Amino acid sequence: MNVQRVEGLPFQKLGEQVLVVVPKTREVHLLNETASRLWDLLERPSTVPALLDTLSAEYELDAGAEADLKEILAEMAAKGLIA
Amino acid sequence: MPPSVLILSIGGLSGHFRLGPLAGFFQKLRARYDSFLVPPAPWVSKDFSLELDWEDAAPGLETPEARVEGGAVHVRRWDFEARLEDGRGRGRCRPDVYSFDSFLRVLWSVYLAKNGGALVHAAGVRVGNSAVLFPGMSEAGKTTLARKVEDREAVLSDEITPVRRDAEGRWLAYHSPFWGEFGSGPGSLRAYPLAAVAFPVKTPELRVAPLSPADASQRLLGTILCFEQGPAAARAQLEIAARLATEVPAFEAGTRLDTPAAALFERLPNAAPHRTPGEREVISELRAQLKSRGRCAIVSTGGSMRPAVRSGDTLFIQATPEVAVGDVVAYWRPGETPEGDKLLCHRLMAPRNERGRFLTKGDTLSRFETFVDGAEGELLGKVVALSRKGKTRALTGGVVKALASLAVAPVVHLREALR
Repeated sequence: MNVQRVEGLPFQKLGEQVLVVVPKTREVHLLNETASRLWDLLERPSTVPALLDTLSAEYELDAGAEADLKEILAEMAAKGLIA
Repeated sequence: MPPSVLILSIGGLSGHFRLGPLAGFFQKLRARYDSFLVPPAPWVSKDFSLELDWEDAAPGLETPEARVEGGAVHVRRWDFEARLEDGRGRGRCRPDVYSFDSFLRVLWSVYLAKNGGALVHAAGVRVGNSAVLFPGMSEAGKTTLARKVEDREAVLSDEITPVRRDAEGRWLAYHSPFWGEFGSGPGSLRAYPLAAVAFPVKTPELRVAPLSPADASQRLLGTILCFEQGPAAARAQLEIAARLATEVPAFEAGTRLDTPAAALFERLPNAAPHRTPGEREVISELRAQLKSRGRCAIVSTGGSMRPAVRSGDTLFIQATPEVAVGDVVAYWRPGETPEGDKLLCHRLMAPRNERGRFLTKGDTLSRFETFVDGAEGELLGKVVALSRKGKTRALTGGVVKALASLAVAPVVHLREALR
């Protein structure tokens, strides 16, 4: 299943972190380094396996990485940042 | 009754209002916003201009709304509404100071955002020649902090402080006509370079911790006044917050109720790069001093009043509307731009006429000057004494008492005080 950033959300990269604004709810989300990297990668539609592939080349991932990734993605979706 | 005109300068932006007639209300508004008025001469440049009628509007809309599309601006709430196109338009407002105040907040939130600035829910405090911004929503401790500042005149606001990035890339904080429980302060049009942004929090001990630009931006976004909806407005707000948080050091400022303000200021950066205030700023500060102390002093430059007044003389000015032919009067003549403003000290040549028009002349000049007080210029007071090489003498008779009381007047240096 593809996931991607919700189109049109204003965001600003500041150092290793990203600020994203959801105009509909007027909420401002500060993404930590991992979530910010996901935000970069989700500029285009992607899947959990593809994301894991990319992240494993950049970080040392342990056995629980897939579950962690799904949890982060679910949280970002719940906040209206990705769909 | 003819329409009345105000030019209000807030955050370095000038709004021109041609107000419908309403007996007594214009004077009430002038008194409330007097520190932020620029003499409304027709040649003064404005960032926006409104014709405003007094009446209720759009019943039912409790929350202010702003829509901006290119050059078109539409703001409204149940008690006010205005439409502007490329900075010119019409509006209506309930004839009530609180409605007008809210109207101003919404207008300036829109126009500051268009000009790289914002109204921030923040206490602003002048520290030396710089400012520190303390953003926070209700109950964050802004008014508590403002009350602890020893010099009341150093408080720019305890509630909403305008900030703007100038053409040189410096962030400036301004005095504000928008106050909370603190009441109000003296005010002027002076701007101060921002040395720090510090978010107040209540902690058991004094603690100042630096914040990352990302963290500071997120906190700032919660405190910027913005009545526009939609992604474009959110994007603009985000850019302003991110820029401010990146370019000005940000901190979390933890204090207790009994922490002295001075102790906090010692732990924060309080010296931004020096900035020379502009002519309009300095003249407005002089006006503020005359209003609060009744007197001030300036150092003259130029030779238009020789031999009575020479360049380098200190002139003592007393605030008074009572001036007579022969007095040397001090008045504010606005320029097209703030840098063109002049403080003039010339001799009154004829009594004020029934329209408030004064006729003045520099002693060495061949031409007369005229201005209508409250329109083309603003009478600030009269020069009552002069000091040269350590010796002080009266310029008007019977002012020995004034000389003693003026001896400690603060001295304002103006680049072009006289011409």
